[in-house]
Amino acid sequence: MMFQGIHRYRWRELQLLLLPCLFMLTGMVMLVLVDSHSDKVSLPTLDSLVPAIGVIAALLVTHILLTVLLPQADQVLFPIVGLLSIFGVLMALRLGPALNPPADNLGSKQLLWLLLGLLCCLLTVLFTRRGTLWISRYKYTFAAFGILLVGISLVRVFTTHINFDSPTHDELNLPGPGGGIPFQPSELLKICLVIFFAAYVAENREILGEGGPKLGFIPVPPLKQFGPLLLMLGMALVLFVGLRELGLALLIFGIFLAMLYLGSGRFLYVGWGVVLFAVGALICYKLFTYVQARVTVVGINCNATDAATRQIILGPAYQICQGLIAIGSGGVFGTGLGLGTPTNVPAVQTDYVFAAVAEEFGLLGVMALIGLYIMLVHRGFRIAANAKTAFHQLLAGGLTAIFAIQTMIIIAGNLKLFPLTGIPLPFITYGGSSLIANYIIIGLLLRISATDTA
Amino acid sequence: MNLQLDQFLFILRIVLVALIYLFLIQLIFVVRRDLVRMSSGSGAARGGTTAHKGLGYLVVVKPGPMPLRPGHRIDIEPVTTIGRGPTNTVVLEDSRISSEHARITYHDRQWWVEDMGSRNKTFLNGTQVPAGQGVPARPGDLLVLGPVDGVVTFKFGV
Repeated sequence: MMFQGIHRYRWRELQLLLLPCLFMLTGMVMLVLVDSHSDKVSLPTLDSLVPAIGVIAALLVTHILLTVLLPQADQVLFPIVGLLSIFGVLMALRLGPALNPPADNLGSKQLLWLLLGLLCCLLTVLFTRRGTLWISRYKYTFAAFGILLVGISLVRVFTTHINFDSPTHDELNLPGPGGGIPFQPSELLKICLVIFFAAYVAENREILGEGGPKLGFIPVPPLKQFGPLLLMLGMALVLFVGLRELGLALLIFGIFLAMLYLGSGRFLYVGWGVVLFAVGALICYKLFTYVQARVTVVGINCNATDAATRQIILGPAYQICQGLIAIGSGGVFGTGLGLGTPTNVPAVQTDYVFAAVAEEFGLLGVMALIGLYIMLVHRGFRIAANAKTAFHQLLAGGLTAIFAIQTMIIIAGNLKLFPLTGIPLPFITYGGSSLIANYIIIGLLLRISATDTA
Repeated sequence: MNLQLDQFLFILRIVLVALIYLFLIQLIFVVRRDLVRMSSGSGAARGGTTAHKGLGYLVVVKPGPMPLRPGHRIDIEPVTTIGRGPTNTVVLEDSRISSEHARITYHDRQWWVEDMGSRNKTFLNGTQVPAGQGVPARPGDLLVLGPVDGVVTFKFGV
């Protein structure tokens, strides 16, 4: 793979990376100054800016490697993702020391995960050097691998009775320094399921696109082709329910419907899907008390003064009400990075980063952030639209749908418009497995955008 | 610098949010140029697909592995070539389709289908189309490209 001359260099990508790097520097300077607690401005020392320099160097190195490996890939995707990751590192740096108990190295851990994520992105690009069509042949392998990973953590929970009441059972402690590295295998399962759905729907597109049997006047999907799809979906949903990750079950269901519609073009499936979802949601509501708790909390009025509501506000609804207060104290312009008090919200670095960003960057910052996610989704769907085979279109569409639906669910949860789930905000929430899985998705999208382009 | 810390931080706050918006504006410019280029390119190539040229079109019946949907319409030019090569009017990317597979021409107020010496043959309504000789085709006829069950199937329409 030789360097094909200066006109193949990814200039656009370099141009677009300029502003994110400036953003990192400015944010870092601001954090250092806020930390210094002095009255006069003094130039920050070089070693306090090390995280910023590390991130910028990592992004530039990845950019250069992308030029070498994949010059024709989409040039807008990586800068968007870079800026979002920078947000993540800045928030981790800012929130870490202020937590209770303080986690001073939260920022450097997030930075390390970012480096790992970039590495995984490049590895994904490398592994698909011969094209991505071979992935569709191994769809059952991928699905089995994902289910196995998640199944292991589920079995571990039930055999060792570890913490039955923990908010999620979706954890796997990989052997590593400092008591093991926590890892969420469900993040990888998402990708495996999308691969399976994409390959299956691509192969059976015609049959799914034509008619099926009719139940009186209501058309019913062709059940024989639907069998493996429903089986895989059912297994995934059961796993997620077992893991107490209902947000992920919702996410997978939404992606499934999206890809089915993309592949067949029929609203019929979406209709049946919504009906099935309503039935499933009702069952889960009746079965699980924590689902009932989360749903009632959405309806709470945080300003209420009567005793019964106040008890709920100080109990299960504490996190959500604190989140709303944080968002509110941000106002339009925000309190400024490092100058607010987002740590009043429990678990702010994982579940409630959005509220922290809203408090410190204000309405303007949050709208810009949502704009960034919209651009990310736009770019992903554009890659899907330009793809040359059905499998690539469906794969790119499904992977982008992950980002779109996931972001919507968690932002709605932060804003008390929807029950809170444990889904991470892509690239910004503190957490390694989410970052790595998202960068693998980006690697796949970049590879698809470079396949068969003239 | 004799700036008070508060003032400097205020400036930094504005700069921080402004940077994100500048980035978004930069993105919009790039994307806009992209969309303009895409629409002008595809517009010239398709030349207005919604208006009927009076010659007719092919309706996709069975798309096979192509990223086409059943029911998709492809306009027929006076000379339409179908094959795997990029110089064809209708490009079908599959190894079972020859680089120059079939040709549809319109003269004598009639469509003619001829096979271009393809490996897996062309079939019109089940009968094999001989290479180099035009066979008349009418609206409703089924054009099948490839081995017996066909890789791609089209239907003629007016």
